[in-house]
Amino acid sequence: MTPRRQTTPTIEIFEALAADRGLTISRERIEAALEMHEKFRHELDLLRSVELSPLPPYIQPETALRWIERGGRTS
Amino acid sequence: MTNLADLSIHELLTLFRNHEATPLEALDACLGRIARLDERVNAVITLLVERATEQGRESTRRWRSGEARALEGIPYGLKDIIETVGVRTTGGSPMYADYVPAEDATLVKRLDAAGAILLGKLQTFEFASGSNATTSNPWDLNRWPAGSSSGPAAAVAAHEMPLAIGTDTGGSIAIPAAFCGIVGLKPTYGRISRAGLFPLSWTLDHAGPMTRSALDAAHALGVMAGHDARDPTSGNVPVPDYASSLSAHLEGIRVGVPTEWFFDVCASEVETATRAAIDLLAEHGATISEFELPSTRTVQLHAIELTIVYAELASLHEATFDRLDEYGQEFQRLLTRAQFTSAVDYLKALRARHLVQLDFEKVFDQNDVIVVPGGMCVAPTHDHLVAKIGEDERPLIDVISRPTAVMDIAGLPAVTIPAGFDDDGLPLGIQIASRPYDELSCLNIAHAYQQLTEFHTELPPIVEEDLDTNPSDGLDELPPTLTKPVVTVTRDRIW
Repeated sequence: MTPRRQTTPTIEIFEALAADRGLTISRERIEAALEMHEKFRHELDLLRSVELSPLPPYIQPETALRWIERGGRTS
Repeated sequence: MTNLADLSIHELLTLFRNHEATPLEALDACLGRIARLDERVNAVITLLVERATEQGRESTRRWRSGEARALEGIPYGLKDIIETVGVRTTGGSPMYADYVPAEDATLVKRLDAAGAILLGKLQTFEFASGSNATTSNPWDLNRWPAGSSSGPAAAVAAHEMPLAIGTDTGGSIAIPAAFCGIVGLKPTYGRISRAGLFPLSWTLDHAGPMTRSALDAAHALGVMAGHDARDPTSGNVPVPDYASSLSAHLEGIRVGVPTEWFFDVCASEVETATRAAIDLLAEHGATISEFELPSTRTVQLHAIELTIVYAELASLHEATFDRLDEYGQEFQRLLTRAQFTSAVDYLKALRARHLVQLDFEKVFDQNDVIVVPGGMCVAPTHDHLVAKIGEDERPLIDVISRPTAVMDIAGLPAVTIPAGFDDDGLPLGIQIASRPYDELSCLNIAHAYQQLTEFHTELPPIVEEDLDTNPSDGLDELPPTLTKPVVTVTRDRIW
């Protein structure tokens, strides 16, 4: 599956996101976070490109828990 | 002379039952080993000499009076993110350096009710994810034991105790078990209550026993497993008597071997050991078939793991984010990065993991267990934390959880066992996994394998050197309680 073309966030974007949540984070730490994000970004883009159906029976977060409770069986 | 510290849980229980040894004697042997070795290994952060000795006397009395319980007199340790009433629980963090919980974790209550003796709290990475390289691998003290259950793995490998309890979110039981040459059982998600554990990621966190044999892991699991009203995610599923149900029978057992993902990034010595183990199982009657995991081609397991951990970590530590400076350096980096995780990505990760589960459903329709690598390389040195795959050196964080996080993501039970050594004498581990709530199948195959091999009985060099020592030597040097400071210094960066 080919990931959609993405732009990588910038320090300014991360700073704006932090400010929106009222977080005070130093420029140095933002840079380190961005570096970690960039290393991981390709894998994240691949995950983002996975298509999950919005129609029933759609997968919810709880679906995984129910599957485990049923001993690894869908039904 | 046999040093009781070198015996398994099963052997100790047999000796106690036959009145050939007492819990107090076993306790002294373990404390002696700690006194002599732990300065170099540094597996223990808090040692409870006086309290454990008091419990040892009570256990000794119970064996004499016929009141012994399932794990009566077995010394054990806890990763220091597991809460203990009246005993400091640091989470491996300077932030909780003096935190004393008011209640035991449920698994501690269960071990206590079964007569096990808490010997001490064991080193961990900060909140099971920041870096802490102060514990050494007993097989080579210059090497990393992995983590975050670094203390539990090192303590059991150094024969300081026969049982330790670790936790696993992406491989924190499995990888240290593989690197330190011991047995680590990550049970089904929900099999063991997590009430009273410092969380890292509620979706992926598991607790489980670390021992030196599969039979010992079965003994411990039987005591700790079962529904707990304090943990809403714990499963209400009957708990078998694992230890007495274990069988070394391999005839007709269906073993699945992956054609993708697990061997794609894997040191050749680990792959060779894994395939040799599979061959041995086949020689003794198991049928082998290959399986595919198509979802791993698209859903990016590493992205699922990190996205879930980032989101839940950020949520869990939201109230203390303004105290970022009080965390260790690695955790500061991790927690800062975690702030930039989107809700849509988090939900995609939570939903996409079911696609992986559906793959495994098909796999276990055709197989009783799967056998895969435990770690994907051998333990690296403290000052060069990289995954060495042949001549290639890969950043640890990018690849180390590759064979293990998938078990957490799918919620499968998986037991890691030793399956050989590389040319430098470093342990190589394999994992045996099965359907959710079928720990018995994993343990059966692990037990059968350990009846056919002796990798799990090999001794690390420092234990070999200690064998000629009087088991009680060093005991006099131990204070009633030993409390070490929390140290989060890292010699090399992981994140």
